[in-house]
Amino acid sequence: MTTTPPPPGAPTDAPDAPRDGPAPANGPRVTGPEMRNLAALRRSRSDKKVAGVAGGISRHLDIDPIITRVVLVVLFFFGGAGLIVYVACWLIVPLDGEESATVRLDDRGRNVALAIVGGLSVLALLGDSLGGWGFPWPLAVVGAIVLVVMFSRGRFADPSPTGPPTGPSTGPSTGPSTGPSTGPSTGPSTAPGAPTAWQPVAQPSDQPSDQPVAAPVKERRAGPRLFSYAVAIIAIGIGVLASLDLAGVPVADSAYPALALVASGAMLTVGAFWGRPGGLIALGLVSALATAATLAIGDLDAGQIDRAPSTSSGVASDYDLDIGEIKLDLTEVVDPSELDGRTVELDVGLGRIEVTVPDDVDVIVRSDLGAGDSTIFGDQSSGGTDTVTSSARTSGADVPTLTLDVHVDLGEIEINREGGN
Amino acid sequence: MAAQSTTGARHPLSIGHLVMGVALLGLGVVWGLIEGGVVEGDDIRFLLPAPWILAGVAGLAALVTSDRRALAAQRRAPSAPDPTSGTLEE
Repeated sequence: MTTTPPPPGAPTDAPDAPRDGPAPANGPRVTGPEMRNLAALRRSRSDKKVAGVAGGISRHLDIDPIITRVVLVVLFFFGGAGLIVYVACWLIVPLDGEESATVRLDDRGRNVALAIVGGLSVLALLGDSLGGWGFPWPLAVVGAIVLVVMFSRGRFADPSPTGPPTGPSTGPSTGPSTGPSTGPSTGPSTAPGAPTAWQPVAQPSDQPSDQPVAAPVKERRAGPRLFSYAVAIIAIGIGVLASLDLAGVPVADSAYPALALVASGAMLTVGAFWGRPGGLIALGLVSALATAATLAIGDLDAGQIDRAPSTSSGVASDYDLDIGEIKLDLTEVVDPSELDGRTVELDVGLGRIEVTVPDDVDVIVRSDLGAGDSTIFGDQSSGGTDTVTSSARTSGADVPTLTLDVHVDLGEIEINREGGN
Repeated sequence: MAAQSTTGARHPLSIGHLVMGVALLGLGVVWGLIEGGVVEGDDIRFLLPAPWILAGVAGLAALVTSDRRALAAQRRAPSAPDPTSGTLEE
């Protein structure tokens, strides 16, 4: 597009055409009310990588599409807010020249829906940033896939001009031009229904307006394909790591994908200035996900803990497992009086905890179950936090008191007394 | 966008690749800190957004620099091409 307001009488109903009269040469070219009128938002046909959402938002706000894309990509990883905005706009916002999208809404309904989407995105962003509900890895994976598609589409995008020419063949193209075209022979800058992409504010030019403006040609980058270099470096690095591993040097499992991650990042940074970096973003994202997965799996403590200590000193103060089962039998303890005043913590992320306590000890059970079932001294319940106190079956003044702090995120808690409840 | 000259394999700065390169390198640093035991537990979740913030800042800084240089070049030579978003004249 050009940055020149269309001549008087020229069609201006294209969504990105300067609205309501001539636009200033400098400064914002859209007013606040125009920005808030979300019903006028359209996905861009001409400036699109996937669905034209970023191009449409940029045009609506009159900002550089790169800014919108960077913000959306960054927000993908903050509570999935970017993904929420993108998918919702894809479904709700019509394409250029259309009045309805996949989800058919009138203007008012679309305004409300987009406001709700904005609110949800802010909630997702705040929830992730302030520790509400943690990092949404499933959304991140979906976002990564969308990113890969987005960049792939961008790489193979049609380098044709951004809109159909409407004037004579010597008129301006709808793509970027080298200066504003103001002569009457240039015709309208854009065709109705064929809005164009954002362009920086152009400065006045001395270029004669009747000169033809060359259509933009997407330049094919020269230089070596850095993807091949990255693959070679990764292969050498993995070979070296594996050799060290086999030689007895401790090498973390996550070091292998991390090596690919760093190599991809380094090559991408080089490729921003030099050579052809195609394919490295996908390689880097896959490496990042693999690194995260191996780190998480490496830290997982899975299995079974089955303990039946014979003395009170053999009873640990805490038992911890990420996935699996903890079975603790305290009935074999020969000196239960030494358990008096002690607190034993048992923690399982996903799995089961079973504790059997002797019948000559008072027991206070503080259970915290995220989801699942608990049976504490015969009382069954589901989820929530319970504090249950069970007295010893034997009477006496000096009955020791043991406290059990039991926590399971998802699974089962079972606390029994010796010989049944 | 106007065609821009390249010198050999060198080309105008690609903001998207710069952003992703910085982000991935940052994630590599985060991995090193975690694996080295420098950062543990809940501190990790506060560290994860850092590479993306850094990458975004780097991208925006490069973008601003690009536009400023393009506008400056345009003021010096009025017939020069328009500033091109996402690329840096070299």
